[in-house]
Amino acid sequence: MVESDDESGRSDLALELRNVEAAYGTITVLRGVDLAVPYGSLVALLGPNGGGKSTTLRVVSGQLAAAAGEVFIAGRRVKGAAPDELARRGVCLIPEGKGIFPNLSVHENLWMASHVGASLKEIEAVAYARFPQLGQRRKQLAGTLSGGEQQMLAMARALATNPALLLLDELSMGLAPIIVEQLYELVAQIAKEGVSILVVEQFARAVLGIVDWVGIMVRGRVTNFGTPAAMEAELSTAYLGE
Amino acid sequence: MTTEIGDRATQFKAEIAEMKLKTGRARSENLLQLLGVVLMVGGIALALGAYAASLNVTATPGTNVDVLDSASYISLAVAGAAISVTGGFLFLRYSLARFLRFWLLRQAYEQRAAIDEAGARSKG
Repeated sequence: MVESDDESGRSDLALELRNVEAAYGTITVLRGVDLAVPYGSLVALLGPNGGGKSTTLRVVSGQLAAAAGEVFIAGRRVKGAAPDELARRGVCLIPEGKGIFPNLSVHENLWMASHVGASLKEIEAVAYARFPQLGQRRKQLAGTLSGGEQQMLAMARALATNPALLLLDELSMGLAPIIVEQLYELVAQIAKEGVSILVVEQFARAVLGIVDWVGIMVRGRVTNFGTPAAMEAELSTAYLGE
Repeated sequence: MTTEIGDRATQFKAEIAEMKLKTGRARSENLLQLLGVVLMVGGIALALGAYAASLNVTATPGTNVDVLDSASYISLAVAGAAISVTGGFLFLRYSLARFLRFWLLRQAYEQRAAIDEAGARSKG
């Protein structure tokens, strides 16, 4: 799938995983993952629950160390990189469950994103321009927002950090289909602006129409990788088993 | 799919290339922990050795050599004790570091879960 160079990653890839293995204690979750995300592309990692998709994102963001294999970000091997160092340089993860602070207001949640250097004023301007609903609820506690609004807040905070590599974990979780469609239209727009995006999803239909590449992940391995049209036929096999 | 990368991607590549990676951090912690053990044992051995050597000091009338010898051995024994204490501190610090790190993470996780639960209850 990927032409590899032992010494460094490919220069045309924002993210590259080579034979990555990872475990939680003695439980091995990733069993040799190969994955590539070219610059400016939108790649989806699909598959049934428990396949290792979220764990893959944790390894990429530096929260979980790979037990074996290599992770290359922007062509550089990043073993040992602290997650906050990666985040400061543009690797942004929106975790499953959104990662917002429910006991802080919308305004205060956006304030928390100002650690990367942008002023709160700039962050709020960008956030409320993209998501006018958030502007109307800036004093409201984030925990009392609807699921869709919480996801918008999470995305607004992520975009405030000016990401170069955006990692999205189960964006559709708990949301109505129409909201999911709106959010993924936004994700597609962000990809067109040059951000490299890796999306993890259980619900394949939500993303197949917008992504450039699809990887199918089952039991800790990426078993198939290709265009959405090519992978659509493989999906039912992956989810239902053989 | 375009093969050109934009300005942000170019900036990203440069920033990642400049990043300093703390590789082998866990390894250095293990080494310091081992050093602590070595100093603990070595310090005790030094103190005991100085005591054993001091037993061979014999008084020579008309000279201060025995006093000087005794003073040296006392200094050596005190140094051994100090080295042992330093080693003990190093060992304790690095053996507890990993435990406390996970304990703190667990505290943060449980607090977050409690807040999520409270938020869900207030909505419902």
